Amino acid sequence: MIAQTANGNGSVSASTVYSEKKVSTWWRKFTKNKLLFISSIFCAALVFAVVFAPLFTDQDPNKVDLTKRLLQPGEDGSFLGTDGFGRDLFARILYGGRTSLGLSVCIVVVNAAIGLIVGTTAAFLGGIVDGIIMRIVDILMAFPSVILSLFIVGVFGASTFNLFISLIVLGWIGYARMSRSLVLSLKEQVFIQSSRTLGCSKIRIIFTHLIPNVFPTILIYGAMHIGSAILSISSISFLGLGVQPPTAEWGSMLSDAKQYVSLYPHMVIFPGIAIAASVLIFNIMGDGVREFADPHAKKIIKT
Amino acid sequence: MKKRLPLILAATIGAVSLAGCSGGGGTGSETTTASGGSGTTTAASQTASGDKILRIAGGFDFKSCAEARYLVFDSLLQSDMWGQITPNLAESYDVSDDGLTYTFHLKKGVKYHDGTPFNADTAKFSLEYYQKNNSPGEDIESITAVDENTVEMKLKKYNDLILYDIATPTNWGGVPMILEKDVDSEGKITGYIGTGAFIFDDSTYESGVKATMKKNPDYWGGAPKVDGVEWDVVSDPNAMVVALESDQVDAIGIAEHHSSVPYVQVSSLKSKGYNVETDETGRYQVLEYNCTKAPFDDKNVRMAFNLAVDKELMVDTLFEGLTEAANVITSPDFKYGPKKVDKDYYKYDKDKAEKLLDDAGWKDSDGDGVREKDGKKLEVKLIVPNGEANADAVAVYVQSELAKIGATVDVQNLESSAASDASKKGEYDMYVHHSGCMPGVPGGINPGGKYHSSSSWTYSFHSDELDKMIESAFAESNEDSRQQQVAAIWQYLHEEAPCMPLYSVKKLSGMNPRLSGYHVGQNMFDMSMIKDMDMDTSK
Amino acid sequence: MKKLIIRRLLIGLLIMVVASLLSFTVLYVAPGNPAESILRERTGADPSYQDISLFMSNNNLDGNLFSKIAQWLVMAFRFDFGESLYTGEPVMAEFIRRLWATLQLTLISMGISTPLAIIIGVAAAAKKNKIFDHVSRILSLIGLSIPDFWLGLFLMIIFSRTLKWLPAFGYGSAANYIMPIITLCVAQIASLTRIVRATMLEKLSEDYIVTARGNGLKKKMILMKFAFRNSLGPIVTYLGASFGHLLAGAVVVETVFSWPGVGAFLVDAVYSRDYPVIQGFVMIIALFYVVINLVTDILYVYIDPRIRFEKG
Repeated sequence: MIAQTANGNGSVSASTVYSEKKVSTWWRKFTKNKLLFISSIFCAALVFAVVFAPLFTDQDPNKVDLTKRLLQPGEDGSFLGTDGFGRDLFARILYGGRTSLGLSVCIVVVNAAIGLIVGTTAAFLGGIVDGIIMRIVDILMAFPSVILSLFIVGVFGASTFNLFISLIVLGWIGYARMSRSLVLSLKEQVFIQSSRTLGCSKIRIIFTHLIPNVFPTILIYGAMHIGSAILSISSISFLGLGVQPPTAEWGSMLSDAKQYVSLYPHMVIFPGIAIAASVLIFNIMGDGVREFADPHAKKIIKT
Repeated sequence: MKKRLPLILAATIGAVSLAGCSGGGGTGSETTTASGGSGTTTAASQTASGDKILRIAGGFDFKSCAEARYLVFDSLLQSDMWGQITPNLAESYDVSDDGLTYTFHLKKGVKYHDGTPFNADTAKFSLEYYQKNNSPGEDIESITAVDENTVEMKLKKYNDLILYDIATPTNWGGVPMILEKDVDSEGKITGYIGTGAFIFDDSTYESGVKATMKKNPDYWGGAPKVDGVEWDVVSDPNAMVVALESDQVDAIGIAEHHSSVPYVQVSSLKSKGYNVETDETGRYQVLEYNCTKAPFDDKNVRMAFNLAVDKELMVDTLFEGLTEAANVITSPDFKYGPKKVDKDYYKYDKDKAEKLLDDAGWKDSDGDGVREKDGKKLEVKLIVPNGEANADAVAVYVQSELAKIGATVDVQNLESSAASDASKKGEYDMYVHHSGCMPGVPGGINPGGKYHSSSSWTYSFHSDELDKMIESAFAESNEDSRQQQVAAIWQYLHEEAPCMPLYSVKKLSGMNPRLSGYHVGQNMFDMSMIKDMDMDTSK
Repeated sequence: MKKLIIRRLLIGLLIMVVASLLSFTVLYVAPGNPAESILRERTGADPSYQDISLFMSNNNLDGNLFSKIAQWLVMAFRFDFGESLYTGEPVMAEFIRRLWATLQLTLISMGISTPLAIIIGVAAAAKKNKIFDHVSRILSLIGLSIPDFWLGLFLMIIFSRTLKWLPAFGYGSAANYIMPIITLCVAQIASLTRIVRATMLEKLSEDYIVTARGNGLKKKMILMKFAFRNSLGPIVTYLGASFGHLLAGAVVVETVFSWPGVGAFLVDAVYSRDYPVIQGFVMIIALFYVVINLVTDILYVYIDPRIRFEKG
């Protein structure tokens, strides 16, 4: 109980009726959770800057101009300098954020969706289906994930789509295992048992009872993994096998800048900071969301 | 059970941290393990005994790359950078009048590293090994040891290009002078006992990590000036530069036939006192066109693309002026290179490029900046094989230049095996490649070469006329007549614009100032010049 | 329990075989072939069709997928994976050498990060919401956010190029270990600290601790004797998982520092289609995964006897 009082959980009413009071309690709880509140503001700012990039820079991120290459920050009116092709670094970081952030959110959403459906189905149906799915999960888990990703993008061609696929192949497993364990405990609860005896179809139970119940926990788990998805994407791009030119992406910007690192460190520093800062924001927010959530979910998701 | 708990815990954590301490603590612990490294010298290269060990950074494992074999093995003949064949372990050779019998007169008194004498028997074994493992070997009728120092090779049909293979000591596509015990039961060369300037030490070899060699004091060409060579694998080009600057290696770039030292690093290396050598090897980087389908089945489109990219600007800025733009398919300096073609034919001319595209029917009718013809947009796929030098930079630049004339380029990075698969299946429009260099016939105008229809470049430019010209030229044994025919081939190809030449890929080597005596090798792969290099250990 | 261990091992065997077969089959149908890349590397030129088919038949690589699988099965049962097409070295010997290189990195960085993370995590939990807790939380979040390749690159520029204190690459001497290990440790300490703290907090909130506290037991005693001991289970599980992860997942760090480890070698093998190496390595990595999981589970039972050994 010590752990929970600090978050002011005691004030949450058990009532399910939506009311003004509930919303205001929710808001109070949200603002009281400093981590979540501050990181949400930062996150909103980040997303805004990236989505409305043209408001912040009038430079074309892909415009090659060899007469303006390798400018230092501040030189010749360029805010963060330019890269080896004379492309504006600030513009590339902003537009690159669209790729990096957008792709990582997509990856998390798809992984969570697949994991949720597979895990729920396995746990609910049990028996042979569960056995087969869990064996598949076991086999997939024995593959080293980074190497599998490099394999897919290398052999089948580096492209945004293949990069996406390479992070889905093993990515859904964590969500599936979590959904499965959540459903296993739910399955024995009274309301599921009763809908079964009432003759509800299995698919109906899965989609109307199990998934909605598991969903919030998976959502939190997913929120906490946006940061690591950004890191995975940038690692693969850094090794030269990610998003293809001219599209800007933070990891591939670093990969391009590698050879300039000692002479023009700004080309490596700024995209690196963009990655680290956005991962940090998402990690803090993930932490905040977990604390904000009900104690049940918190117990299941440790970190 | 409960009582044992702390014990197990202590054991687990203890074991883990103990392993940590012993590994990180000192160098002593590594030597006790079976496979622990023998320790990379981190300080200057002189060891306690005062030996001069030259440390080279190699991008690849010693045994899996062609360059390394030049240190350990010799070949019967040698070819220089531009294709002139000179004697080597064969002091001289005679060709019969019909051009079918080659007689090699071997150098006397040469010994393998293990003391075995080099003679007609070992040379015969080496040639037979080549015959078995290489497709041109099919042209060989027989190999006989005439006497102790003479070997005779009979061909089934005229093929003097086989001499280029005999002039190369790599084990595939070349004839290293080997011993029977170098070859394992499955026919692979795994033993490294040759006649070369350096003696390979198998006991210190670690694949993918390092290899060491001692000098061969009895080398027939004169003992090397350094006492040994250490080959350290550093796969990343930037790490190579750092390794040179932190004095972990003495030379970088020597061990790769492509250009591994980033061009942008050259001026900074020079300003810090390192010697950087820039060697012309005749290899040009080109973009291959898929000439079998639209848009590049149209000569005018290929020509327009060739004119649309400002290569001079690219070379002067992106490559820091260290190399030259290329306006012919391969270097004219090669023995069978394009010597007489018009070198301004592909000169940058954006207006002309646009006009050519207009005339070819590619027009931007909807005003989106991209041309179209018959409802199809001018959109091409450019394959960038991983590991092709500077290919990433070239791709971005070409993409931006072609956008200016209304063509969209989709860049696709592929690891090299998948990339060449795509080239064989024709799943490309453009492909970053190179024109080839010695040994062999650069530029792909030989039978089986890129522009001959029997080659593995099925989707390159081919025509029956060209095939006939190629076959006739290389069946010709009169050199003057062959040169005339080769000139005609180049004229024909040059006008067809079968690829987009970009620039000359110069080989860069960075060296610590304590090294002296560097000179360019016999060809792009040759690194046997190391035997002529010396080092001043007092620096 | 014995029966269950045997069951787990049998499933493990299945995992190994299927993982290896799967990787081979996917690679076999994927574009590219070993002859192509090996010949190009060796001669520096594009091999002709004749050269490729000659290489394939000389190396026993032709034949259809099923005959290849049959050949592979025979080899796998003898636990002999043949020789690398690239270097001609036996796959097992190569694997052991590569594994040792990676294991050193993995074990040392775990050896350093585990005690550190436990100390920081326990202290943070003990001082929840105090300055130390906040600082350590923020630091561990930052540690988790820094891309490892970026950190490695900067360490190399600072310590090798500018200060010239440490070697940029190489393997064997003590100085070679420092930068790769720091790079690996940062994320490792960060994530383990979070695990320790979260588990400790959870245990501290359990009824018996609250009771113990009510009974006036010393705080230190409660922390160490009850809370920490009971947190060990999840910590060991996490360590097991991250050990397996580090084994092949150090590939990025291995690439940056040219470290001759398993991960980097496997990636190279995939790109050069070195079938014997890929099959062997995937199978042995899977074996490691199976063994580590089993050991983790057994340890878990010893540490927390309340847990029954459930079916996997």
